[in-house]
Amino acid sequence: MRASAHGLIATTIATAPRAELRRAASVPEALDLLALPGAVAVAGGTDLCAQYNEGAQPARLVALDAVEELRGITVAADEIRIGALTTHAAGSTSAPLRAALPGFPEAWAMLANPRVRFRATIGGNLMARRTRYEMSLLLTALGAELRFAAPGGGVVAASAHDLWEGRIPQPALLHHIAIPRRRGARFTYQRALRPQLTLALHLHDAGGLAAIGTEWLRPVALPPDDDTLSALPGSFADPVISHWYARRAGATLLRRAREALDAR
Amino acid sequence: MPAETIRFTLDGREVAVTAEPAEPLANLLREACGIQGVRVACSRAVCGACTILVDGEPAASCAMFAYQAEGRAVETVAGLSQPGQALHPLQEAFARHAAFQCGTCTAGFLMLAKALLARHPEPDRATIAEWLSSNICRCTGYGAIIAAVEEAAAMMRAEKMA
Amino acid sequence: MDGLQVVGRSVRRTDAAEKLTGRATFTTDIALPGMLHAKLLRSPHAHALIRRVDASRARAAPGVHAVLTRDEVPPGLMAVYGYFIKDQPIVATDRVRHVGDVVAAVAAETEAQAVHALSLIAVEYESLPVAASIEAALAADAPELFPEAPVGVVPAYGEGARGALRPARNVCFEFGYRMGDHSAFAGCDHVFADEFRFSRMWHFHLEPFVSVAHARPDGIEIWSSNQNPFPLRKEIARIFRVPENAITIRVPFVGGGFGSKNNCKTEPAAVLLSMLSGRPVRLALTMEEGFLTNTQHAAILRLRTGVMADGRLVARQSEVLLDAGAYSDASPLVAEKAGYRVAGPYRWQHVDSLCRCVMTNTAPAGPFRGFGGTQANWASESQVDMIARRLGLDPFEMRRRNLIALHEPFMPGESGVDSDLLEGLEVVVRELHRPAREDGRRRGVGFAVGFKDGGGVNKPAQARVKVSTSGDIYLGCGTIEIGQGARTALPQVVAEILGAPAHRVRALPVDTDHTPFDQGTNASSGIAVMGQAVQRAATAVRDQVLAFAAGQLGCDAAELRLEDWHILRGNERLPLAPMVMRHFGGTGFEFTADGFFKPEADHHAPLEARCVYWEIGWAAAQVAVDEGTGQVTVEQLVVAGDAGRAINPLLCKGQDEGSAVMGFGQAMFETMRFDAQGNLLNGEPLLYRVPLAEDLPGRLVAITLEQGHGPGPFGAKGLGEGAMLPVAPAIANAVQDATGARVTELPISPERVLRALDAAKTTPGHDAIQPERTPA
Repeated sequence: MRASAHGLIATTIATAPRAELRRAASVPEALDLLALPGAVAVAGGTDLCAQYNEGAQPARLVALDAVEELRGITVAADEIRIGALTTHAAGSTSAPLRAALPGFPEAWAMLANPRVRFRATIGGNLMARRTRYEMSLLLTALGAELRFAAPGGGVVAASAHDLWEGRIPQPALLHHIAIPRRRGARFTYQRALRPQLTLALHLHDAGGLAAIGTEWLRPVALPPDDDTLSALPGSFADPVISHWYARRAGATLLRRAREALDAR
Repeated sequence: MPAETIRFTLDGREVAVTAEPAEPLANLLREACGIQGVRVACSRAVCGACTILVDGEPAASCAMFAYQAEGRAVETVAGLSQPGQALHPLQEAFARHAAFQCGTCTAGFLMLAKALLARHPEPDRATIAEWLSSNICRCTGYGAIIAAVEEAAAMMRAEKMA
Repeated sequence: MDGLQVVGRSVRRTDAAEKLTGRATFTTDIALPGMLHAKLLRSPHAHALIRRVDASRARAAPGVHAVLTRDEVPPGLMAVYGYFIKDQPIVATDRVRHVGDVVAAVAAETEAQAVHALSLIAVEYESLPVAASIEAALAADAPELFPEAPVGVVPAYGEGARGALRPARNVCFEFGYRMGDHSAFAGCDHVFADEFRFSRMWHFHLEPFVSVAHARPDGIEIWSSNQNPFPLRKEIARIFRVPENAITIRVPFVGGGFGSKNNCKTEPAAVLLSMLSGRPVRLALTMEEGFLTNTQHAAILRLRTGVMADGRLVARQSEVLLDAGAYSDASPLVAEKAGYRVAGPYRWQHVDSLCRCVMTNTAPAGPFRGFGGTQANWASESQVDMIARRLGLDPFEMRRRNLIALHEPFMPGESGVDSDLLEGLEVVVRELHRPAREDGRRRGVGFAVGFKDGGGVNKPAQARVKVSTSGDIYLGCGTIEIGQGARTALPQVVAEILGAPAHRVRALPVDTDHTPFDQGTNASSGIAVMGQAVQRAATAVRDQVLAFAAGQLGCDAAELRLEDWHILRGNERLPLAPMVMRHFGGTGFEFTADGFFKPEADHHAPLEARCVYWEIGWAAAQVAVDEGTGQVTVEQLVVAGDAGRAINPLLCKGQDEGSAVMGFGQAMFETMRFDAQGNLLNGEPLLYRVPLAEDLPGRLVAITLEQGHGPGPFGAKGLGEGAMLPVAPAIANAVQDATGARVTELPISPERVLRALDAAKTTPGHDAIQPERTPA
């Protein structure tokens, strides 16, 4: 609902004034259009429709469908690049991705549901900045970079944490996600406790990283040590779980994540 | 924003609808195209009552805009069977199992199941449960829907063999 | 075998073709020429005074035809509604009492215009302290929601029962029931006191709250997604001071309700906006607004139960506190049921129950599937298990020793319980398979008996059946098709009695002008109460037809039978249509009759009328508990209901399955979360989680028993709520069986289980929690 000091008004996509549609054909054009007042980017539209219910009233929709540059998954020697328009369905079934980073497409396949996976994109998942969407947690554990299109060409990099902190370029056009390739990389996502608590673990020959999150909290990155949950910030508690529980159950999830990777 | 002519295939027929491209697709289907069976319930792509198929893929029509249908093949519950003719095997199986109660979610589940069976003609129970978890039914408890999808799959395989 | 042709068969639902092709019409589909669209402005505060409302800019906004604030309510109207207590205003006057309380409304040509106009309304609030929970509202310094008493009534009660308005600050109503003497506690070997907490669900009906109203000088026409159009008509007539026969309420298919769609919701504002604009007005709420409109009752339940060492239950004193939210809605009725049912289906010497409706600055609570019974059963069936374990008794044996026998009255003056409770419990327990896998998790089983009085209290129903010259049958009755299949099962009853195939009976659309009176589609009353009215109407029509034929044939009606609009006499099969036309002329005739049913009023019965039937559900659950996280997996859930006689077995199964899964959601995760300031934190369909197909127990079995003792047609009883009642306690009981850990608060979340596991470990035998009093 849209909230103001005067009251709440239940809005939906159907109660909003009709927006102007602008179709972007290229990245520079998309950036120009997104700089217009009240412009929002539309990829799958899955989250955008929820934003209408929360009071959003975009004046302009910038359709990204035709921006081919934002599509595709590339596996290079040093990194994996995933275009922002990659749908969950495409990403989670990508054979090159599976070969390059075992465990990650399997984790990706757990997100949302089959209907949503056909339309929703990795870019939309991230740019919605909703704690309940899980891609930022997975990318936190992977140490991935979010690369935004820069006005003069090229890209500007940010981390998943920067996204939560709002340290991203404006207008924001997520271009692709870059996951560094590490020797001996293995990945697992412990999701059985969702929505209470989930944990991703990324191990490689030179170390690794765990990320823990809930439906209500931003993901927190932790070193993958046995007692790492004792470093969980005290603020890590939400309307559903206490800090005590996050530490206790988190330790169990971490142990299981290790076991899962050891078993591979 | 001026109206445009939006062309797409609707339940197998070519249509050209005059609409604003940013009109919600569910509205367009219900109002301009007269398809009452496209039901909007949560209006935020969660419950799936408004599920249609776009190029064979299930989609929440409440979360789409008219322009996103351009040039696509859109399928709705209205096209599953023709009046006076036999029901689609899914509809028939839903009837036999009483896989609906209040009827609000029904069209969405039928379309979702159609997409499922197109990809998995012989789905196991886990696959059915995973797919059906895309949508919400508050009445049945899902058991009857799962049973109906299993039966429809068998019916459709038998039809293909014949 | 029993000679039945139509009853007892799973005939196809009569609404199958319409609902499966998308052609079915719901209120949300109704569109009238010139229809306006309304939207509401709602309070952002949980509790505040309204200092100023200025809607002048909204009135001038494009497309606006009517603006409704406290200033537009016609003087002299008592613009408040409620069941027993008229406390809910159509739009707020001096104060708002929950986030989402309606402050203003606009009707415009489009919803977008209405939204825009609402955004131009200026409201000044003065915040008041907030009481967002039962504890906060009962605190000594709690702000009072209703400093002045709204108009209210206390219904008549029979022996042992009583009710009172405003017995305490922020308590709008209390119900009490007492049977036997308090001294019974003194003779007990043990007295156990336990407290239970019950979470609040939202109905999550997929069709929203929606109505279309057209107020004209000659009358008011309303289309509404509503479960009880006749009481709604009465309330609209009272509010707007119009005769009931100037109001027509039409109810198309209803897209789910689960209790929420009783009485006024969107209708009064739609009517008033239509009066102000002179145009038909549609008011459809969004799902987010639905969350703030009507909910289940959260509860705190405190039970003191006295038992003998051998497990015999003796006495129970209970205090049930219901979170009624900001307006009373159906809370007094729910209190009556929760207070009455909390004793459970056991033999007692003494029962002393008190149930209070506590007003809080949260969304109003109202009817919800189970209606106080779910709360009562959660506490009662948990505590019976806990006591059994404390006494070292098998929980099944404990129940066996105490369950009320078939035909034994629940309480003095009550009707006999018309199910064999022990048989049902044996059935569900036997149906559980032995858990196979061993994976380090702890496994256990639990069970519970769900129990409630069914069919409403003193609930009348009328029906009409008519048959055309050619033998086509009409059924007019007010039971709403809300998904349960009433418009399939009730026609089956008619068809059976008239010897016709089911497809010859058509259930007529419901409108209050033509449909015979009915109190509402609630309390699982469709088959057991309305079914009896339908049965009587059909029987009367059959008797008329046979008497007519006997007259024509010059014989005794007792020699004749009716079969598919033919008269059977010996070996003769005579078509009726020519016989009718011969007598009545070529245009023919319609045989028609009304049927009426109401339980007898009886002052000896605690609720003033003996319960029509007892709605029973049994559940047995087998769980696996992950001790590392506290996560409970329900590997098997078996439920059973007693249909008495299943009119349509497939529909019965559907009611029990749906009901069980709703109970499962409540047990495991579904809950509305309000913060201390009264903000609903998860009032949308992602954060408020309902069961999905992938959440189902590994094995879910719904068994329909037909024990044959029901009062309805052919021995039928109602279904639809019973199977929800025992699910949560059965799962909690299974968790204790598996681990020794006891969870007394819903939902049974991983964190609660993990804490209970810790408690069980640190205090070995912690469940033998100190009884309040144990004899030396």
